[in-house]
Amino acid sequence: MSKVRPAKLSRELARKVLEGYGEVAGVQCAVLFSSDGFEIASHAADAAASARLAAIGSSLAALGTALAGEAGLGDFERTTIESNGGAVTIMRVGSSRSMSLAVVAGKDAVLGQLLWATQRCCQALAKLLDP
Amino acid sequence: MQTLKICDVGLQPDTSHAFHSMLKIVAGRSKAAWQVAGIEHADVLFASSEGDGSTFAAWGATGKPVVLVIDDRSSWPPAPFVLRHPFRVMQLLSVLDDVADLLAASPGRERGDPSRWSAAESLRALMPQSGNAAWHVTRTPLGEEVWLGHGLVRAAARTIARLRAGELELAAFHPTGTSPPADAPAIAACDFAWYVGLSGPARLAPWLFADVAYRLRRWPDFGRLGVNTGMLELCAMSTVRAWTPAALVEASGQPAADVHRFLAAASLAGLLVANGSEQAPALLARGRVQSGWDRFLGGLRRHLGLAA
Amino acid sequence: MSGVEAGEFKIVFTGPMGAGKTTAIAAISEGEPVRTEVENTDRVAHAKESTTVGFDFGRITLADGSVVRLYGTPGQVRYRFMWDILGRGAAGVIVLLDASAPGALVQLDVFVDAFIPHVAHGALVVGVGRTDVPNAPSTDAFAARLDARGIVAPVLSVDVRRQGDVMMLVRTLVCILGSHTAHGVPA
Ligand SMILES: Nc1nc2c(ncn2[C@@H]2O[C@H](COP(=O)(O)OP(=O)(O)OP(=O)(O)O)[C@@H](O)[C@H]2O)c(=O)[nH]1
Ligand SMILES: [Mg+2]
Repeated sequence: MSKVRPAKLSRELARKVLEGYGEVAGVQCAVLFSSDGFEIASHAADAAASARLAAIGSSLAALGTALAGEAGLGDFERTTIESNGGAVTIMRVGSSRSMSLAVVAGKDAVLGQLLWATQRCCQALAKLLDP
Repeated sequence: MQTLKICDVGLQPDTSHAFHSMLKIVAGRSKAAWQVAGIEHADVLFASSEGDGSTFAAWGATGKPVVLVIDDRSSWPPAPFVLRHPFRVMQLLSVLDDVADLLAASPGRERGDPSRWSAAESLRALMPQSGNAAWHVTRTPLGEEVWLGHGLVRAAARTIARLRAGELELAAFHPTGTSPPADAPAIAACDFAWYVGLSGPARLAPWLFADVAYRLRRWPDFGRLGVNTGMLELCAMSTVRAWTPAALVEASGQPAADVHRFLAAASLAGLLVANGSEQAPALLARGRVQSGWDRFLGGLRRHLGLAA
Repeated sequence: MSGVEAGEFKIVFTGPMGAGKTTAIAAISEGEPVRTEVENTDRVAHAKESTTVGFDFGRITLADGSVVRLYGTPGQVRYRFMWDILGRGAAGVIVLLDASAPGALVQLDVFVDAFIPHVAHGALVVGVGRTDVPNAPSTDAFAARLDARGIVAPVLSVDVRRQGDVMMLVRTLVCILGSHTAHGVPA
């Protein structure tokens, strides 16, 4: 058996969506990944970096799911790691648990704007998943 | 001609009478000179299959053969030396000669010696070539055959089970031109060696030295062999450093017999080395003991059913 | 540091995908362990449906109230960062392997290399499953592999679906810890 990637999603279309999203102020790179840590599409990240982001991002998403479940809060939606150099947001794509988006933003990004734009991007990606 | 001592137990009076008078007739015709003796000096037991189980168990532990006498109602038992009562002189002679052959073929056996290292000693000599194609054979006290060759030991499943339980005492292996049944269950020769060591006598095996420090070069696979916590402790201690047998008894707080059997098992299985005979493991010797550690470990050990 | 005072006594179960880390922790943990399994989309690597991408977490409470934490790592090399996070401060490491998986012997090296830096007191135990599958390497083959590197660690054949087998691994680990503490050569 081969990898059971979501068949309907075109990596090319996904990359286009990420490219448009990359215009958002402060966004340095973005990686769309499967819940078990494989990169599906990326923008402005080299292969090695996007592979690592995908793996770590999937762990965080899984830990977020475990934590939200533990607290009785239902499904994981997103988490943001803020540091003095900027922020990383992991956001679930669509209602399935099959993929998430990781976005790295610099200091110049405004967090509220970033989250809003990321949400829009995830919605666009979800449409690709389920047209 | 070898002189062999035989002891009869549990026979009906008429069977006993027939046996004793026939022994006189057999004299001079048999391959051995037969002498009646008390059970503690006997080489061979001549017993009714209806006999007392504890006598059989005690005899079984000596590794010596038994001739079973069954009555006309019993079915034939899975033992090599069986006579059905009433029997003729020639039948008795034939069985006694078979027994004499068996005993003559195992010159390594220490007849009447309670130390009983015969199987282990022959195994020690054979282990380096146990992968060879030639078969060696020995018997349990009840005559079940145990074969060694091709890196394997083959025997009936029930014999192997008793060996694993430490219940079997075996005579020395001797070469044979025959082969075991192809479908006989098998275990690896080194696993067998481990069990033989564990079911040996309580004292230090004759090939180990009281003043030499030994350590384990490799752990046995307890998943395969089965384990008790005492053995785990002995293994753990013996991989940390080398111990003389007495020091291991002292430091482990375990009975000397258990420690001696562990050492015999480990050495027969090729896992034990005398200190200095091989490079000690360089790795994993970093100490990192903190206060609170001992207490915590004690609690964990109790939880796991290990001596605290 | 093993950080006993900080209540951080932990045992880490590691090993490649499908070796049985999640199964082992579930077998001995009191209560439901924390799991972070997601759908496995790499059925080439392993046919199973789900795989751990964060960690497994279970616990054993001792009579005096202190707690042993059991952590299971992800198995894929891409989660190496997680191995280091979880391995740090481990009191002992149990490497699980599936003898019937291709390259099982090489996997032993991979995980020993990754976790040796975290292991003090010689507290490394290897549990090998499915040694009964035809042509699978025996535990002796794994032990020889450790011999060649000068590592003396127990290699035990186990079926981690059986609680008794997993407990044997933990007992063995604790015996080693005790021996190193009581009889080991101080650093
Ligand atoms: N037949 C057999 N199955 C086993 C044995 N040990 C484990 N298994 C099975 O192998 C599978 C192991 O799966 P997991 O416990 O999820 O493995 P894991 O190591 O956590 O895998 P990842 O999280 O993907 O790295 C389970 O389905 C077990 O039931 C064994 O000895 N024999
Ligand atoms: Mg798992």
